[in-house]
Amino acid sequence: MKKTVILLMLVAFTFSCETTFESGGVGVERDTSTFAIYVTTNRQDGTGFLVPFDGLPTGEIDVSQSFDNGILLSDTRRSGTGFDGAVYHPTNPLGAPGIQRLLLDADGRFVEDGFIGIGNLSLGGGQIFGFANSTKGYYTDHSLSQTAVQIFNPKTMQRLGEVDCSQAINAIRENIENADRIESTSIGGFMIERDGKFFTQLFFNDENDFQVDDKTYVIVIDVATDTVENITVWDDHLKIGYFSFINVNYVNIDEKGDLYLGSFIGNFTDPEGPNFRVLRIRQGQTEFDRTWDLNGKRGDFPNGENFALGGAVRNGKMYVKMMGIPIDPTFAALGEKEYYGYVIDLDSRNATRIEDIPVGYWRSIHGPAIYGGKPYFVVENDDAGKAFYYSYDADSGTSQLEITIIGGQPQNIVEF
Amino acid sequence: MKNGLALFFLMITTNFVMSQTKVSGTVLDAEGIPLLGATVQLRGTQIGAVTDENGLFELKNLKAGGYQLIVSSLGYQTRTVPLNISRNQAVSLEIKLRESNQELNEVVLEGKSNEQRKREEPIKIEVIGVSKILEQSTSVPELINQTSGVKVRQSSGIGSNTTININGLQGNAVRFFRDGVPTDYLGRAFNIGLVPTGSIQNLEIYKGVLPVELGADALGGAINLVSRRKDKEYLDLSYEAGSFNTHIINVGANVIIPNTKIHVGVNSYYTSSDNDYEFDLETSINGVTDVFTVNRFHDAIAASYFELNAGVHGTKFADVLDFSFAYFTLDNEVQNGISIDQPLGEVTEEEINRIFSVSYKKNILPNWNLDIFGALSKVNSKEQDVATNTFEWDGDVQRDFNGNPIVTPGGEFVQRDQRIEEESKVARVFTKYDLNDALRINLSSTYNSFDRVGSDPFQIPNVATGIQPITVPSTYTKIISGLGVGLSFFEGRLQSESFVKNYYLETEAPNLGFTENLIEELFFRDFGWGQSFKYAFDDDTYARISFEDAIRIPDAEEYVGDNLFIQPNLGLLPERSENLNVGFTSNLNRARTLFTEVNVFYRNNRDFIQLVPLNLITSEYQNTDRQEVIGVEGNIRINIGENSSIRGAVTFQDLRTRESEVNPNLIDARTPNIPYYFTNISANKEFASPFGLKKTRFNLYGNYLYTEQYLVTPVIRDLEPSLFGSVPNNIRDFVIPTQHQVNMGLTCTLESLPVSFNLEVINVLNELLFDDFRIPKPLRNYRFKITYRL
Repeated sequence: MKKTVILLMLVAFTFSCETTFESGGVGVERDTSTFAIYVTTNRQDGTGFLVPFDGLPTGEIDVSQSFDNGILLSDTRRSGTGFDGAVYHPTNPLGAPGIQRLLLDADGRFVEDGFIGIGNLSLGGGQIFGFANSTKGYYTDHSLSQTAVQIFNPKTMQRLGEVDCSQAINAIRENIENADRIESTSIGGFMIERDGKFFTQLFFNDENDFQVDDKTYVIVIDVATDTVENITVWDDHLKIGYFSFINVNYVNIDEKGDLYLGSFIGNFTDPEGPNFRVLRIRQGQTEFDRTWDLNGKRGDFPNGENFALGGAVRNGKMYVKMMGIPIDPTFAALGEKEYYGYVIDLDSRNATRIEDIPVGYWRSIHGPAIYGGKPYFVVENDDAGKAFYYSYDADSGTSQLEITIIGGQPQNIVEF
Repeated sequence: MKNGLALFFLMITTNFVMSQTKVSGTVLDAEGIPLLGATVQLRGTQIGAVTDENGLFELKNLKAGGYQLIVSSLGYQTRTVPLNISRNQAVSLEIKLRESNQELNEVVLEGKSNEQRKREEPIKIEVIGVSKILEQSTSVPELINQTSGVKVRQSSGIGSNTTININGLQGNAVRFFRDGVPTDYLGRAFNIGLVPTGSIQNLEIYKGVLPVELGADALGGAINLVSRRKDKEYLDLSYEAGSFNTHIINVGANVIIPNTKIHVGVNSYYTSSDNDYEFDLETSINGVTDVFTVNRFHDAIAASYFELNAGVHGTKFADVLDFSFAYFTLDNEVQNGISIDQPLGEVTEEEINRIFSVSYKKNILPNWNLDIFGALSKVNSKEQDVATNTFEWDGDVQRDFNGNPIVTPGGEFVQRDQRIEEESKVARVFTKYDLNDALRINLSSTYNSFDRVGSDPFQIPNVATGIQPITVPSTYTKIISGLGVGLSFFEGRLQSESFVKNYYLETEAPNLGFTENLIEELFFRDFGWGQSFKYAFDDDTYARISFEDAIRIPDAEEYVGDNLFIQPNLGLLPERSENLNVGFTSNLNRARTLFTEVNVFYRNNRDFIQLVPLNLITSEYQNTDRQEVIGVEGNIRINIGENSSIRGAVTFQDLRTRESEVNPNLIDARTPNIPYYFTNISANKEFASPFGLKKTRFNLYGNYLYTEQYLVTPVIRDLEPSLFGSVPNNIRDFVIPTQHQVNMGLTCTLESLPVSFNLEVINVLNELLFDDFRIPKPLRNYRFKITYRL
């Protein structure tokens, strides 16, 4: 009897272990624009939360108190972006590459609402997606094609077809000196739409997936016809957008419609090492503005700074976070606490350190971006477990603490 | 001193009564190995005894007459021996017991056998008698998973990488040994996901506290694979075939040349499997995203191990002197990395290992044992990822919309054609000296070193120097020494084991970040200590407490990085862990049919080393966290008659980050990707001579394994699903669901041949099972095994 009771208890204890998942609500779109913040909560594996807010968040945000309506995502260091009432993340929650549409449900919680998977093959600058309008977006899937841009509907999350760029690419390829070293082509790195034209980068890769020539190619697609309108070339290779990290915010359009394309590096093996560069394509143009660029190696900046993140532009000023010392080709000094906010005058190229934004480490990927008409800068320093967003007022030349993040590393604020 | 006097008095008394009427003898198992703890009792009297470690017993002061001597031992069939004793007669007996569960699913604490002494040491050691279930096709990881407090997970099928978690600690915290020697020199030959059961006599699991004879910096525990004895003859031949084109051949033999003291032995295995099981996966194939049923298509493995040994035993010079040469080859296809999302179609691994070893054992004095081992090995390993295509989960290469294969540079994962040559040396000296019955001294020292150099045409050169890090020779030498003192009080009821260990590391590794000093020389020396007690309330009931301040020395890469994207951190501290076990063991009834054991354990893992991303480009190994584990594990076993038994094991371990500089928000969060609650129920029944079949035995056994859902990434404590609780929607994708696994088997043994046949069904319920980071495991599958044993 004693044995039987013990055995029954053991079995009952074990079989009582039933698990249920809470039922998910049906996603409904909201009419009003709202915000969400990406916060990495585990630096080891990059997982974190996307937490919604009714408006631009302010004050102190204890992420642990906001987990209830946030959704856990892998790869939050490479955040997604907001568009037309939804957030689009570059992986599904568990990390499979693709485009994951996330909506707020009736309770204000993020729910998954459609996923387009893409192959794991990622070449050149990396895979990326972007939006032309509410029913048309573009993305790259190097597993499907290395010479085409894929088309999808961001509302239905269905692939619609592709823009065949092969003819234009072949025409360029014929003129590359060392074309025999080209092992693959790829499109990606960044994607942005402006006035019915869609801009993305083209790469010619060698056997090690490095660019074969020292040039930057940007493809311009006409959205109305889904055809290649132009490929513009800059004589120095840059990884614009840095491997599809949307949140580095190297790609921006100012209020005049000028497109600024930034990067800090070309090939990793490039002996020049890190080199913060910004190129420009003027409003209405599909060619680089060859009269203007920013170049850290050229000595554009006062202390020889050559490593910067971001490039938010407004009223003739560009806002970046920059290492206050030159970074040598080994990148050894990147761990130093020398990371400041800067404002760069786009005409004179003068860079001025914003003194009242505290110095910090380079940890968060989020480059300075414009929210509510003001540039926001992330600051992380030795205050473990906290990160800060400072806004900068260009008129007064002063900055202000806007958001304190407790319990994680902010990687992006998206408006959707 | 008092104990010494008591012992002296006991000896005098013993000598005095020796001349009286008595029955003495030895109790042995079927292989002639002495049984410790067997009960010997005269039926109808209170006269009885328990055998000592040599299987000896003695019943004194008997009256002349007829008796029934009942000899029993848990796990063995009880035997009754009729006796007629005359006055002043001294009867000497040799009694052999046959195991009642010889092929049964009794793998832990299966009763008193030759390993019982290990099990009853003050330091808690689980001993799995692997050779006793050789006829079953159960794999080594499955055997280990039937024990409490231990969880083995494999990245996929047979031969895939395994992670063993012992009381919450895993990875580098758990070290592996073969016959007490760290297995580094063996390469992957004795990887527990690969080695068949036929190559092992016993499997010992050390939980958190290691005796000095195991010389390694094991932070969380160790597994020791014990080989067959060299001074006994045996022959084991087995062939196993299973689903997914799995074939395992095992040959184990030891022959003593007649009229000599020379032995010659063979221990070999061959394992191959396609591991091409199917599973459902949401993925994108040819641009279509859906849930597809796919097969693993590039996961085959073939491994062969051949070991020939010869030597002498039982000589004046040596109890055992053995020379061994082994040759190991491995060809392995790699199907995926840590994630299931990306299938790999051409990535392969190869390993060739040549091992020469010599072992020497000698009882220099009756109370002084010496055990020396030395080995040299040369491992050539190759990893290739040179494909010019990438693959879809349908097994085809990725194609563009015109159907042409997409040519891709950079390999499938990380392009490499990496060849590494490693010379490994290991030497171990262990000696035990019993000063008297109450005092024992153990000394151990283990030297382990390797020299490594490699090549890889695809490795990116270090930016600062232009040198490929893999081409720079590195050396790594580790010496772990220990001194242990064993004390015994109150006639052995209270035993104490104290030890101190010295850890010494010397390494030379490339550190190309420093352009003036390409080779970084590192030295490390530290001490650890431990203490354990055992108190026996009676022969069957005892309590134990053990503690170790354990250390894990960082690996070379953790110190100096990979010279590419992982930066050096020469200030890295060793990981430390304070490990405490408290346990109680008892038979709950006099018939010894109900056995229970409860252990509580605590781990305080400080200076936990993790790879921390510094920024978008570089990472660094840092001492980041303090992790704490509080757990309880319990075992219960019920013997129903002589031929059936049921066993249950339950483990709950609460693993949490208590301090973290990197993720302070995750303080008190549960450590992810480690099961924290799991139970196991196993049962077996033996049918002797069923259906009138003489000399035939059937053994039916089953095993049920329950694993509670657990997270694959940490979240704050408030968001964690509670035990058996629901999972919030916003984290559900990161939860490995609750798993129920049932395996069943039937063994038929024809004793007259002697051949046995076994059929085992794994995952009978066809449940979705996962290991590691949501890597699906096979659905229902089958194994058949035929074994010939002499």
